[in-house]
Amino acid sequence: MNWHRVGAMVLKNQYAFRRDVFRIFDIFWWPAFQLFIWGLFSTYLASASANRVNLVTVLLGGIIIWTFFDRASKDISLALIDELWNKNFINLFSSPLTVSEYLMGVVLISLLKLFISAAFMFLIAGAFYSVHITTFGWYFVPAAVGLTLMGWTMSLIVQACIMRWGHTVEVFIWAIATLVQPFSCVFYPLRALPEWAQTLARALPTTYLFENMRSNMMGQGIILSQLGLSFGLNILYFLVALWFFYRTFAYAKAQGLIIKNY
Amino acid sequence: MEPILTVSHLSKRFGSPTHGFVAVDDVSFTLREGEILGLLGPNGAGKTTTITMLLGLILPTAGDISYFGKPFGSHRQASLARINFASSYAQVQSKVTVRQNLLIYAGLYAVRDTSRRIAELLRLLEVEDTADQLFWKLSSGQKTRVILAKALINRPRLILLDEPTSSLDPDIAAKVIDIIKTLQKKEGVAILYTSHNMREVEEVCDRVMIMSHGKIVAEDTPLELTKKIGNARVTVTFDGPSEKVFSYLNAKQYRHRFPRGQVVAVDLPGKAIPKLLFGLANEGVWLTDIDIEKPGLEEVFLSITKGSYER
Amino acid sequence: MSANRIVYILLHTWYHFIHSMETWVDIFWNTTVNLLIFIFIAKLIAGGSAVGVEGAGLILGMVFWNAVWVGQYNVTIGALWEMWSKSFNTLFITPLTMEEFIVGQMISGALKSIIAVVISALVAYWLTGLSVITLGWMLPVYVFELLAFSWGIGLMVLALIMRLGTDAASLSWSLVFLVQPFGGVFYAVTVLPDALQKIAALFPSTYIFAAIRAQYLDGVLETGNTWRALGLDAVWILLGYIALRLALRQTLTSGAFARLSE
Repeated sequence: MNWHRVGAMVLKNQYAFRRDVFRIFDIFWWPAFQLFIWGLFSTYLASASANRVNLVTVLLGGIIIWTFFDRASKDISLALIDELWNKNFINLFSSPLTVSEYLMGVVLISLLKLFISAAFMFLIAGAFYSVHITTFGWYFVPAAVGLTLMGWTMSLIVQACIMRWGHTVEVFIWAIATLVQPFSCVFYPLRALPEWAQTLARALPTTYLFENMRSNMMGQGIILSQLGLSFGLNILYFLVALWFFYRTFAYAKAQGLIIKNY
Repeated sequence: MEPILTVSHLSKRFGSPTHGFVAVDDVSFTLREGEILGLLGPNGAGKTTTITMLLGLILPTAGDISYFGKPFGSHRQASLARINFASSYAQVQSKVTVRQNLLIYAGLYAVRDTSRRIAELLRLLEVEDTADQLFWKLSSGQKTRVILAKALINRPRLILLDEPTSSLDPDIAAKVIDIIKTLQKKEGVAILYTSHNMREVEEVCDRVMIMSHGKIVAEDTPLELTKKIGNARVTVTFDGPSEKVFSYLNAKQYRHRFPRGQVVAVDLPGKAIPKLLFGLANEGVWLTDIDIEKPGLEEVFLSITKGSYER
Repeated sequence: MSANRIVYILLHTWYHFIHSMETWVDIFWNTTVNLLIFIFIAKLIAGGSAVGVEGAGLILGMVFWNAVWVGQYNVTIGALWEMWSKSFNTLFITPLTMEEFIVGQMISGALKSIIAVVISALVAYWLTGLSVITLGWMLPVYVFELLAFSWGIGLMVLALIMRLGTDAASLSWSLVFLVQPFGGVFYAVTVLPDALQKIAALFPSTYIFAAIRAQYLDGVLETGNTWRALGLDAVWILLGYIALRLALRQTLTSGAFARLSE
């Protein structure tokens, strides 16, 4: 891995980003917007709720750390289709840039955006709904890392599919997040799901992260074995996705699929 | 005969009335039935803005456009129904098959006997095998041909073609040129044509307009335009001492240069060629080879854009 | 306005629909998943397996929200698909007018909305036993009023996209969500602060959803709210149409219209 070329990738995305005002939407507008809507919504729910739990904190906590998954699963894939749409992908890979350097570059830029989004969300959540990073405590770190990692896993699989099948599967960039959300128990406990859905939810590392976030906020502590299971699954999935991505990239290159599909 | 298209004093200014940018500046021309008019000019000369105004996608700042004797502004639908357009920047829906796309456009243009017309055009442009493929899966040459099929679907009386052959292989480009010429001859279709390929324009167009900085700076048949530029280049290979040739050419004030020892190239008006050749012969110079290059549209175009052309 | 050309725009939308997985995901998948999340939240606040009054409000809100979301999304996305295909220009150099194109999108949007509402109503019935059929003959009235509102928003968003270019495409699926908190979709607007209630009064949805809840939960037919909503719908559509006309004139003059397809 040549860090100069990684740097060049970061810079390139940075330029593209500055040029396009509306990508700033993705960082500021959408997260803030979601927070705002869920804030109003949960204020209402809290007043209507039969339970004594602090629904505002729980729901907003959910939406804040969900943002890590949401952005991580989309940002890298969007960078890829942007290159493909602009027919720049071939230029990139006819330079000495390797696929690892490319990935590292887009991952770094996505992390940067993630930090900005998160800081912005905490600013709003703190000001309007008094939900702060301290509400999460140290648990924020594993939650954010775990969700980001799972987001990248999904993104790698989607990117591989895009290289393999082209335009038709681009929709999965957006559909994946919606697919994972209900089963990850972002807003409600695992037991709220029907039996069949609970089985599915247990296979997702994200479920444990949200479950423990809630119990942590309600002062019931964290079950470390669940956290361990979550990270174990997470790393396993990530490695499989990485292997799948590299394999498909090599296949797509050998078959000339990228030129054929875009 | 009624002109198909009349453009008078068409102007377009982008931005503010004082600090804006004039893209098209007082352009007037007419196009008659069955005529092929070439529109040439360097990038940024205002060709695309002109064509886009003719299609109603940009509103002019001043001037009038009328099709078939009726003003375009108040007869938009009726005018557009009888013309069509093809260009690489106006494609068809990419997530729909070729046949479905053509079916939709046939419907929008209210074409009768749709399926026969589509089959006919697919055959004419040799893209029958792509009929049931999604548009985005086609190669760029196939896309261009499908867009041409779209441009012919309503049997237009006028077709605007912006660089129709730019992404085609030479053999297909030649075929497209043939189709265009046939349409003109058999059906009397009028065509407004832009291209970067001067040879093509020379071959196809009855009349050529050259635009520069938003104005039409030259307008004539390709032949007359090249005559106006006048100069031909005569390259003569001779036997004997070059001093004699050199002094003769200097005495008669010909513009010349010696690329090699026994070869001289002279730039002169076409009609002075015999005088030069006889003159040299009378000096006792033995001419072993004579090569005359007449200027093409390419030279006219270059001389205009360099500013050396005079009207 | 030519009925014939509108029919061909509908046919065009249909051809696009059968080839576009994005549309399927957006309309059927996303609507169903969002409903699922709300059903689980409803169960959570009720604290048991029944959904309770507030929960029923949430679920009814989500079922009928789909009419607004799909209707407005279809008006804008129909134009965006053409811009992304570089075929927007090609359409508008046929005798087609902008009005015919929009009416085509409205009709196809209405059909998709109805399908989305039916699917989510079935899911809601299956999971919670809540049946919208009990609304009787008022059901089509509510759906129509919501659709009309969605057309008004759709026209305004389309006008914005024309002015700002396809970079602003994300407005087409995000701006409408502002209606959720202000338009009384899930709860009566009386829970909002006074200033926000004044904004809410301008949204037809506020009255429609209030009428739906009143009829479903209390068995009261609120004819006044239904008429008020209809009047506001007309105002929104008129404003949307004026905005679109202005945007069209401005972009045709500036040359931006011709560049929308680039």
